[in-house]
Amino acid sequence: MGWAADRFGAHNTFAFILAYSGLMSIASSFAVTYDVLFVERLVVASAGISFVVGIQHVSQWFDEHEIGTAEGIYAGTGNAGAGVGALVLPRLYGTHYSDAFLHLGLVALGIAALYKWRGEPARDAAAAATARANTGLKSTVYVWTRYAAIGLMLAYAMSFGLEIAMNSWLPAYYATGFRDAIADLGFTEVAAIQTAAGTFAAVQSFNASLWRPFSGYMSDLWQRKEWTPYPFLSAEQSYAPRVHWLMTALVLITVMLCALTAAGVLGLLPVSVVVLAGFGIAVSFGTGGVFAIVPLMFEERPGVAAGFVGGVSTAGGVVYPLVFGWVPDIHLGYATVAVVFFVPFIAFFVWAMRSDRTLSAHGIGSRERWLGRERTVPGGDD
Amino acid sequence: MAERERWYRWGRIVLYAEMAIAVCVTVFSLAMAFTGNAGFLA
Repeated sequence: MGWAADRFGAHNTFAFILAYSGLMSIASSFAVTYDVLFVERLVVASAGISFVVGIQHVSQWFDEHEIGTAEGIYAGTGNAGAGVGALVLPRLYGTHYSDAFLHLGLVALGIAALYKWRGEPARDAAAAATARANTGLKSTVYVWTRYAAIGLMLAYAMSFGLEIAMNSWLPAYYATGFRDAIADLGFTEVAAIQTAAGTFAAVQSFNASLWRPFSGYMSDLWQRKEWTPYPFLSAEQSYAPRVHWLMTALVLITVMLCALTAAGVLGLLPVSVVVLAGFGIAVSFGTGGVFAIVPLMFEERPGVAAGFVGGVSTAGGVVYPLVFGWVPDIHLGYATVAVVFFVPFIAFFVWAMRSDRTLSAHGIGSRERWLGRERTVPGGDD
Repeated sequence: MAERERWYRWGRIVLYAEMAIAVCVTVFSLAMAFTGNAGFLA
């Protein structure tokens, strides 16, 4: 979808996604069998691919010194929509879910029409033309083979990949790992335990979404103040302070993950939940920090780069829960993921970002290898 | 230093509001849970 946003314009791509998911949502309101409903809702769920389209569109419209805040507000506030929907829709529609599907589908179609009618691919025609001209296969492979892009992809796997993993894992973790402590609070029935565990788990996703704009703002601030505190990272690139801010986030995420294990092993439910809130904030620092860099690192290929970083990293949502469940002691899964995955990820990130070599030279194959010697478009990703 | 656009001031207000909402809902929800009344945020 990132490629499509570069190629066809984000407004066309986003309108297409909203249109098909809106139509399918309307169709699902008339489903009479579970199988049909399941398939139709599966298609509606695919609307999540619109994330990278929006990242690309924001990058085409906002200035470099404000890009972190702009991307953060788009992505953070947008993700909070899922939580708001979960809170509001049951209270608004009760058990009449088909009415909710119908109304949301109509709203999606309306927004699709508005986006298509009023949307422009970029602030100026040159930026849109540059993105469109860089959508070839070799251009895509060039992005995928830059070590810095791989480092950012791993950083996003450490943040957003972990966020979606925790969304699915945490309710079961608290219901199982803190069953006795939750029972002591007065929740003894199965449904009551699930509700309490869900409340604790929601602390993570809520904070991870709503603090994300602040992370983008902090990235802008570090860039403005030119803060580069880590001597083992390069300070040469124009976006170096943003990389240093992201490094801070990655360390915080790893420390918080180990603290979750410590609180669990000690059986301290209140401490675990407070750490979880801090963990959610650290995750938001990571997610906001990554996409404050991607559009600046790949100015000519924002959609392709956003698709690579934002798409591949979601594999963490599947892999981490498998590790959490595989470790015999349910509390040790977090520290295991931190040691086995995150320490090597950070090591690669540092190695990729400590180099003073240009983006074009620091990767698998040179820029010339993938793009040829002749430049067909103005500007450059360096 | 590059001049900020007009939206940036409102953008900062929005992000501070979002942080305040996150803190308030988290504290309220956990207070409910730890007094045996969970269910607001879940």
